[in-house]
Amino acid sequence: MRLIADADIASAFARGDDDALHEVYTRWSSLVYTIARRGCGNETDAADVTQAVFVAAWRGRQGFDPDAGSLPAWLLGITRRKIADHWRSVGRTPEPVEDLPEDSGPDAQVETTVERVLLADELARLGEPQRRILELCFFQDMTHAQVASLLGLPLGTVKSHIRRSLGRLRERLEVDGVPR
Amino acid sequence: MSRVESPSGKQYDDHYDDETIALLALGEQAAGADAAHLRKCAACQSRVDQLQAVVDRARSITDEDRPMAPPDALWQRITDEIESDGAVGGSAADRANSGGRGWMGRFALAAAVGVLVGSLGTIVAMDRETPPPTIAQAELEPLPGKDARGVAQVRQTAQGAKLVVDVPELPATDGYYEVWMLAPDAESMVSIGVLGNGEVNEFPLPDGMDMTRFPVVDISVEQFDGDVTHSADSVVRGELSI
Repeated sequence: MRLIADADIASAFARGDDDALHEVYTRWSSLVYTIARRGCGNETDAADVTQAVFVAAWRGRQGFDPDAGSLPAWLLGITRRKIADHWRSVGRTPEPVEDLPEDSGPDAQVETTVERVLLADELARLGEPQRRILELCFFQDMTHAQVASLLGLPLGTVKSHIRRSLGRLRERLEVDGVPR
Repeated sequence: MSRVESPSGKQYDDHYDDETIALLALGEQAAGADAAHLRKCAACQSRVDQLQAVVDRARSITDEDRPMAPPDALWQRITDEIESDGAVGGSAADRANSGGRGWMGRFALAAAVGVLVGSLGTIVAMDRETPPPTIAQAELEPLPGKDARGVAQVRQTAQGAKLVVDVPELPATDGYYEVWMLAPDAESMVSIGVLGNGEVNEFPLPDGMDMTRFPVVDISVEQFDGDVTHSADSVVRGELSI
């Protein structure tokens, strides 16, 4: 287990503890950077956006209310705004995200990106064999019976892992993916 | 596509259980009575649709969506920009009390902790399946004449109960700090362990430990005098509330 819970880090951050800023960066900079990289389309701009997000978060930490939602949800709210600022400053519109209708606005595109990155992150956090089971279902289009047979696991075990893991993915979007 | 077996061989009008909903959301086919149920039950259909939206989004993940750490130099850029603001973090008094460590010194410490957390990432991720619930917590308040404060939590982990103690700014001492759990009258007590150098310390609690009998978490300064009893020089103390 982590010695310090996410919620405790969030409280320390809200109090202005500068050690907490580093911990916040350690835990959530990959999310912010990956979304920024998808949102801006290149690594240089993504690094600038990520820097702007954490500086703005630190300066505006008094605006973070731990009772109103998770710290990553708040950070991703800032990330969405900084990505929008980036496109305004370059005077162009972002390249469309794959699989979205061409008339989707920039907001819908960023939301799609946020959800994909959060889901990819949560998938990476699943233990084994849960992660492998879901990846086979998602990306190899295998049925639960095929997965059970491939991995040599009882059907009931596979079904139960699928149920719980999908629940975790949904919850992650609900907790961290809601724009704030 | 295989067919989804409903585990209970249930009646026509039963709602789906969560496992069936999950398999339908993945696109597996309902069989027989289940298929008929889905056509007529808006509640089940809605649950399937909601989960299917998550599945569809997950199926669109590409390698580019997998979280990747920013360049190493970025943290330094952030601290440089923040430092240019001047005051960072708590009040001047807070910084004076931090034992002479400037805030960048504290960052260096935090960075070391960050590396440790990073290298433990895999283990941490595995354990997220069942996050250890906090079953009791105490605010640790300074005793008269002292000014440290902190938090103690009892967490239920797969390896048993643990006491997690976080007292960020203990003053330096010639001796060492010891953690105790006391009875409310402070007449009887159990030694929990010696506080390490890190800010957050974690102690396994024996299975037979009765928190209701020893609900007060106490940290004392002890000298290297060979005396195993409590020195009566406590720094912080607080009662666990469950």
